[in-house]
Amino acid sequence: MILARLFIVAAAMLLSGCDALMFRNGFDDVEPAVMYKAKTSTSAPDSIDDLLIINHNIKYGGGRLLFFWECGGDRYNMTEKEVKRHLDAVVEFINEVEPDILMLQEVDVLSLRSAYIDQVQYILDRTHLNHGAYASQHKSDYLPSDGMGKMDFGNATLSRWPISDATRYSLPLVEEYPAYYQYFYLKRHILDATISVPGTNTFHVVNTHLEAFSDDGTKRKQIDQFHEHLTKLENKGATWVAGGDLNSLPDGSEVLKEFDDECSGESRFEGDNYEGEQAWLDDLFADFNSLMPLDEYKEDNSPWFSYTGDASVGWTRTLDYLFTNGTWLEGEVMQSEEQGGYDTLPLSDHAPVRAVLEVGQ
Amino acid sequence: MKTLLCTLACCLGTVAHAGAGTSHGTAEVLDKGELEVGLYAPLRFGMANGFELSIHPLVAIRSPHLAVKKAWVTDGEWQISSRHSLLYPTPLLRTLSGEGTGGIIVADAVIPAILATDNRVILSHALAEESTLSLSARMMLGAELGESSWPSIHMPLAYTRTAAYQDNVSTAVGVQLDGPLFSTFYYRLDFDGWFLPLSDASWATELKSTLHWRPSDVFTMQAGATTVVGAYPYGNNWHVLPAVDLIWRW
Repeated sequence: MILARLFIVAAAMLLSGCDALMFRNGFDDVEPAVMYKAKTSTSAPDSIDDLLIINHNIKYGGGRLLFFWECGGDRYNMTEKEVKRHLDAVVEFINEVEPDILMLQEVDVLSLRSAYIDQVQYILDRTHLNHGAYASQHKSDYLPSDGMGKMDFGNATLSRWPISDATRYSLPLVEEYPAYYQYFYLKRHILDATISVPGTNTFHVVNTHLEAFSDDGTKRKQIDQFHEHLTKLENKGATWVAGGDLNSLPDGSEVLKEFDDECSGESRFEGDNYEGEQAWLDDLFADFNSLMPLDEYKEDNSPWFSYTGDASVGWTRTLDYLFTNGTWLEGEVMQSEEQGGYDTLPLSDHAPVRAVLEVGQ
Repeated sequence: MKTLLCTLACCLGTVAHAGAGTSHGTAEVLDKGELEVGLYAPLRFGMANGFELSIHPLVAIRSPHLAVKKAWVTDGEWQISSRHSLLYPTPLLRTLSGEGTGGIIVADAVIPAILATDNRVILSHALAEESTLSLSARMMLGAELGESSWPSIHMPLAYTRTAAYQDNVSTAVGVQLDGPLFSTFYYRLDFDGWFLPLSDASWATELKSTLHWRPSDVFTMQAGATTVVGAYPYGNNWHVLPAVDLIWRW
């Protein structure tokens, strides 16, 4: 076993030198995002008073299926029919809410597990959204683990208006992992898209999905880089909206571990534990305008919960956020018919976050 | 063990005809009593009456197989031989199916008993001293015996060589050129064009370019690369893979 692992390390070191020719797992520190256009365009308004933004981690079109790495999960590859059924439910939600800008995390564009359906294109072609920018966080021509095979999934920002520029900025990698594991593991990033929103000069949408599993402070470094990126935009005089799945709890969270959706059976990962991380988002809340007011959250956490690993117990914690240097008019986590007007539990393990931004003032 | 097998299996496509400085891949058959073996290249043994047996010892542990090569025409401008293999890849595929690192196939795969044959006709023509042109035609036939539910392997080299297991047939034609460079150095250019008539993705080309160092008749070192351009169920792609081997011949 040790020999086998050493062999893998040696092979991975050798192969990483040939990454561009073999597995293609790597990214540049800064590289252009992949741009998309809907097959048919729909008209977008020339002037607006406000901007409706939705942020949603769609779990690669997996709906509420439980995959092999989840508690009690046994699924590996989905059928094309399953993926389309789940995506159609997401599309129905988008068409009902009609956001101007949609920020997505965990979108597959060319993965064996989701029948190689390009989910960015699928959504664009079935909604009023016309343009998209995509940046991968896990790309490999072949992942030799768990039969995952070809993988390409990441974050996408979709818009009614053209995206003039979009860039992928790499975030720090998890240092505690061995070299071979790090080589094949997820590579987090910030996707910064400049969108021609009417009534704005330079409008940036900054989309990210931070590390979920690390004990070496990688997530903290990623949060800091996210903050630094937003500060730079602020200093340049840009208007921006930023957010995504930060995989972190805000200060004032009543429960930090042993959540209601925690696995009581066998699971590949230990239960989430956010102890010691409570202050990590403080700078973001202090320096920028959060959709979720911290004082409201401290009074009652539950309306802002946006994740659950077990639909039967409901939403259990807050992982998804939106910030801006502009002004929020309103917003909420769309948890249910009662809160948000839509039953979002079947769509994904994350709930959409809806926000309305003031523009044109 | 699973990881080592997986790596070997992945390399097999590159090295199955990796007889650098050897006659493997040409129509020539080892003389009676001659033996050749490589790190990745198969163990070949010359028999009487123009027969040669070959097997890959490490892979055979999990994927029993045996190949017979027969020289049909040895006189004249063209030598002609054929090579026929019988394979039972099921245990290897099941070993590669599993959780964690080295899991090439998903753990919930249902892999039935599979029987396959790999048949080639090879023609070789001496162009000049130590230079040989070889042409080949190949057909793999496979059959699954029982309930089957496993995803095909969308990796370069592996996809074409496992396609017949699920889709019953794969074919290829090849051109190989061997010749001297200088001193004890030789080259080999080996091109194969695959056509998979019943598969989701139906074609691939492979060009293996290797430099051989043959300091003695006993030992050959080979290094180079295999460029694979082909179709996969997700679309077209290309890869360049290392091709390295050490070969001994007695």
